[in-house]
Amino acid sequence: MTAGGPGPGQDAADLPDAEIRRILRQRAAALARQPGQGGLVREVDLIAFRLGDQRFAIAADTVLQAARLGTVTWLPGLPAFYRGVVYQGGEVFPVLDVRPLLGMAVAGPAEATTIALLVEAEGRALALAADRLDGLVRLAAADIAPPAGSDDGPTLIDGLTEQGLVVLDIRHLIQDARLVVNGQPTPRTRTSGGSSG
Amino acid sequence: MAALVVFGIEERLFGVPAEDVERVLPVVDVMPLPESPPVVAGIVDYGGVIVPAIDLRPRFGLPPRPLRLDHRMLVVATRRRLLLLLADRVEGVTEVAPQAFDDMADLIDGAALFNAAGTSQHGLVYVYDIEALLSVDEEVALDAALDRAGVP
Repeated sequence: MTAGGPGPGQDAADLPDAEIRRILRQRAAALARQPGQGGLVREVDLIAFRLGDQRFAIAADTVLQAARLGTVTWLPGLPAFYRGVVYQGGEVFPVLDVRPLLGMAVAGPAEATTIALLVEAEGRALALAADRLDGLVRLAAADIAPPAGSDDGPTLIDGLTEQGLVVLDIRHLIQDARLVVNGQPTPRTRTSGGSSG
Repeated sequence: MAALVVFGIEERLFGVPAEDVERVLPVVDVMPLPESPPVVAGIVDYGGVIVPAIDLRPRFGLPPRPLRLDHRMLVVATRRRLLLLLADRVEGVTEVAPQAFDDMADLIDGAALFNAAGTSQHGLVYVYDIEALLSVDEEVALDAALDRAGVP
């Protein structure tokens, strides 16, 4: 009932198997020749920042806000990854230095840190300490090489770029068991009055 | 609302987020990839890029079946690679309210089958998160098979 060539709507049952295979191969050859698939490379938007001389980046869509870090209050019982907590926009965020979490040495005085990236993922929020913001970068996902050993399960980083940018996997990082404070699964503390530590 | 591209394999319906779907194309010949996981039907030269073609049939215990000219393939971009999803047909794009999703993880042993199920105007849809479409083991096996085949 379909006139003309082997259009997509044509009932394949009308054609012998060999003919179907020939057409499929023909289509495959045409698809292989089709230029410009490079345009389909997935790009990711990242916010890049520095801590000491290490550059990090996180998915831009997880960043709520970049803020000048106000007074950081140390709370007893916080794991060493935390600098303390900050009060920002009506909420208390724990301030995380990602380096010890990744097994990196923390060089230089912690007081140099002046910026907090407020991030949210998986229903949790925290502040990442940063010395400097490098702004928004757009990378092809393929340029982010997965870390060695990533076959063993989720790691805290998505990968590295040739330029030495460490792309953090904020969704895994924010759920890392080591971040748990006082048995609370969520680092975020809402200021609901009367229950401050 | 989440926009899903809904496609069918026999009487079953599947959905992937519309934002992850680059294109829908008529199916082409799939070259076998030796020693790849069962879910990988083979590879396709996609404008110079070798892309694995994923056939969900074995996941659901459906026997292999030759491709037909009216079958489709969805080009989806995961963070790691492009994938082609083989489909008997594409129903279209449908909006599914988040409330329509039931998290199946607790209900079904081996939740890797799919990530959620939702009801749409087409009926019950198995919804895949394309980043989790392949298990870690399958990704590793696929990488190894591509390596052996000399695919960069």
